[in-house]
Amino acid sequence: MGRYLLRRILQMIPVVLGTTLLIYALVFLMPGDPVAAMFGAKPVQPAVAAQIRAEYNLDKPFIIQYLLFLKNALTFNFGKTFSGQQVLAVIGRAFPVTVKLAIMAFVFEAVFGVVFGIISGLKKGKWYDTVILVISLLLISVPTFVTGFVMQYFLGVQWHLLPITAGPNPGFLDLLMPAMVLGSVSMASIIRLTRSEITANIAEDYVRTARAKGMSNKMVVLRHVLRNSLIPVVTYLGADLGALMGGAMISERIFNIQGIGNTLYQAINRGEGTLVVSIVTLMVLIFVVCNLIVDMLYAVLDPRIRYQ
Amino acid sequence: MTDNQSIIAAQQIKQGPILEVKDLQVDFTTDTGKAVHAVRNSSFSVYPGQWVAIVGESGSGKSTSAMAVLGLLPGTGHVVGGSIKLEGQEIAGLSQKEYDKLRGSKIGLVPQDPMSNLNPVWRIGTQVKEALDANNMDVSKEKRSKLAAALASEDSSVALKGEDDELFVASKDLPALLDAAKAALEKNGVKRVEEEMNYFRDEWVPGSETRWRVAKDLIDAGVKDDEAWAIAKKYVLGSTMEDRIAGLLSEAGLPDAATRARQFPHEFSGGMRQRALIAIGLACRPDLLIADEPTSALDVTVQKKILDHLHMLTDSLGTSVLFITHDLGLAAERAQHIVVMYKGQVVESGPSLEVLQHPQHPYTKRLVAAAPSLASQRIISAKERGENTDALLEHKVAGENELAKSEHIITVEHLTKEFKLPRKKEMFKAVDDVSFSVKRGTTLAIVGESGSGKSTVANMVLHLLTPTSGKITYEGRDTSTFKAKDILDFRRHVQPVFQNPYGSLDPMYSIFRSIEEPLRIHGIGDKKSRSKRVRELLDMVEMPVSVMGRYPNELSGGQRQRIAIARAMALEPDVIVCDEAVSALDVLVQDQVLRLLNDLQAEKGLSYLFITHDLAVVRQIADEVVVMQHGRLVEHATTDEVFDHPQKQYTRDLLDAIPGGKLQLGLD
Repeated sequence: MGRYLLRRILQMIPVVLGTTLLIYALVFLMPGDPVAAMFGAKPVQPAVAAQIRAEYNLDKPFIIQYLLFLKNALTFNFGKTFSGQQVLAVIGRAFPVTVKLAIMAFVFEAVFGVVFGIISGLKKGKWYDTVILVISLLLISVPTFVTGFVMQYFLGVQWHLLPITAGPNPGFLDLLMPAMVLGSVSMASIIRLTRSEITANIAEDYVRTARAKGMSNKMVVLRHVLRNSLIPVVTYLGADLGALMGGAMISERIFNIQGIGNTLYQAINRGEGTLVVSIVTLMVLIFVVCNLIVDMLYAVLDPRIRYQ
Repeated sequence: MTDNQSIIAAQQIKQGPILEVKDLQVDFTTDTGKAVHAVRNSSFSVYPGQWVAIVGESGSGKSTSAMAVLGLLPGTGHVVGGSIKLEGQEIAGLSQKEYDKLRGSKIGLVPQDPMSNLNPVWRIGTQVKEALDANNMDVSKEKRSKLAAALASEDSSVALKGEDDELFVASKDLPALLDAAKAALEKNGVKRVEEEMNYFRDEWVPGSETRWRVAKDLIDAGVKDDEAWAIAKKYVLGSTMEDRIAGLLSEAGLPDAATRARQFPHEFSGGMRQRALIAIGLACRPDLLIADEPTSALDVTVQKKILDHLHMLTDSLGTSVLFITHDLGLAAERAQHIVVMYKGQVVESGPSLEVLQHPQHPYTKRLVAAAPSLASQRIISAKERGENTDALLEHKVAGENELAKSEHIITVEHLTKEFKLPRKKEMFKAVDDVSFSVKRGTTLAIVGESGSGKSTVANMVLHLLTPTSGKITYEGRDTSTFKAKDILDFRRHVQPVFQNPYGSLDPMYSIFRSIEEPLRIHGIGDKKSRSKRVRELLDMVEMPVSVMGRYPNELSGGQRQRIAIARAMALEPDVIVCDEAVSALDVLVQDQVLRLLNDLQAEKGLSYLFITHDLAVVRQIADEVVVMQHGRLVEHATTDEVFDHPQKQYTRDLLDAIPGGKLQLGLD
């Protein structure tokens, strides 16, 4: 296990390097001049423009820019944004909001996804199974922003149950609707995954053997059906935690939340390479670590998996 | 034992049947709401201490009947008529909750497939514990069946004084008990103390050996009665849950059970898993054990060991067994009473030898004729009477003697295959210096248990694996020198038929497409002539042309294997490599497929390389036999020599393991 862990951590280095290089290249290739964008419609004095270019290394070739970024990043110096703020400070303000949102969405999708999935799987063919299936299909097929607008309209505008948008420093209630929107697609997938796993497991030979031992239905379902069915669900959930961070962009836009997704969106619009690459690197790291945890968890849950 | 038998007979009359099934009807409902009658008007009884076998092919309703007794019918199955009485009590209409109380404690189950019947995520010991917990078993002492209690009370050498005499030895008390036993032996002047002590160490398994048996062992060894009982009472005080789990596993024949109980199913071999399942089935000392094809997924040698052990165990516990099998030879060898089922109905029922020697129903006659274990016996008995056995071995090609002199179509010389094992430096030799050759127009069988390397040899001959060293020649040419074009040509002439007819046909391909595919790949003929060829091939394997548009999941195992053979025959090969081609089929279908292979050989002069673990099948099909063990060639001779004068102990073991091999038949 230790050697496997070490190997996986070492493997993360080329992954992170590769993605940052790729993102840097994409930002570099983006049309438009970032300096011109800074000044909007106003004309820029050539001397000022040159000074700004020098300050942000924009006058150097692409690969040099990238290497300078890497060098600075290793000393946790991610540079400044165009508006003169420290990149780390910007991320430090936006990141906790997104983490809060992602965790709320995660809890929402895990609890409701698993509970509805179990109900649906154990009572296959009942009317509420059909209802759950239809709703989950709807949530999967409708784009997130549509779900978001529909919920804003009914829960916010019509019934005044929840705030329509979240301002700066959002609280639990401000984030509740965005979290539900963010977690809805994954919740629907978890319902379907749990349901199909339970349906498959309940027909397994070892479930019959357990009944033949004289175990009660409750014990058989708990120990042999649920335990086995939830292994893939747990791994799906783990991988999804990373995806939620990235997926927050759309719901943060809809509900005007000043999180990492919104910051990234604005940075892309302004062509702020340093900020974009810093945020994406952070997301890649979270994603890779989440995946590693999932793989470890898998070995704990399923004794047949052994890493070497 | 005669005494015991008369006691059992008396008990059987006194107690009546433990299970009485009368006019049982089980229906399944199809999607369209139609009822399918899986079991119709079936009746049979099981008496205390008896083994009753239900024999029949797949789909005959034998497993369905057994599951109806357990209240565990799959899917839409339900009992629609008749009665099931357990110890005189009607149980057919019980609710699942009421059934929970019977299952495990009154009726146990040893299921069919050891690979799928243990939950992969729980330790073996935990899964045994569940059975004990579910029935609130007292793990400190033995629970006896009525029959065992009656037998024990008749056993005059030991007087059972009370329930405490059934307490088990605990592992923590064992060292002290052994010390005390040694002291007592020395004090009583017993000679050969060490020998007795070794016996005690083997016998006194914690969680399995009871106080009265400890006392009895001591008395038998020469310790005075009072002293023996005093020691037993002082040191045998009842076992813990862990001891009992290990004791149960060890009773089922699992070595080093205490350690094994902490392992997971995937760390067990098939045979070991089946032993664990036997331990689970018998954990709560049920009066009736349902053994649903308990060994059909295992090698013959393992099968014999496990059934021997199960037999011994159920005899000593006084458990009745309802034994489900498709092998009549096996049924006759193990059970006192045979029930033959066919298409959902009981067609014949009677004492085993009676059914075997004087089968009444045409289906039973077919079963007796088809059972491979019995067929090889038939050949031997004919030989003993000096009759011409060639008529029985229908596949012998005319003019075989000339063929025997003809050239070898495939020659294998010093073949070796090594695999790298994870985390080990030395290589694992799957095949170790094996040489043999297949004569044109004949069948060479490679026999061995799983892990003997026989399939690895087949894969190397098929050019699917590259040998580490050694040479394979086809028609005098070294196959390792083949270029891409030669390989294509070689594949055309050497075709495989694999073990699993479910896995070797693409489920997304229609039957027509499956058979046509090799023709298309090799660019033979146009669309019209290929379609004609497919019809011919289907005709050759005795399948109706109407199956062309169907898909593999709509066919039975035997039908699929016929399709696989038709596909192999499509390119008119010279050699067919059959890797356990009939092992997954039940006996009647197996017999049909073997006959088909024989006929095709006679007609086309094909050569077969036949890989199997079943010596009984070998007798029916092979001219020469190669016996393999642990990757090495153990014995190589003609089939008759191997069966009549086996040279090696391992071959003799394999022969002994053929079920029903020594039974007398009524068909000759």
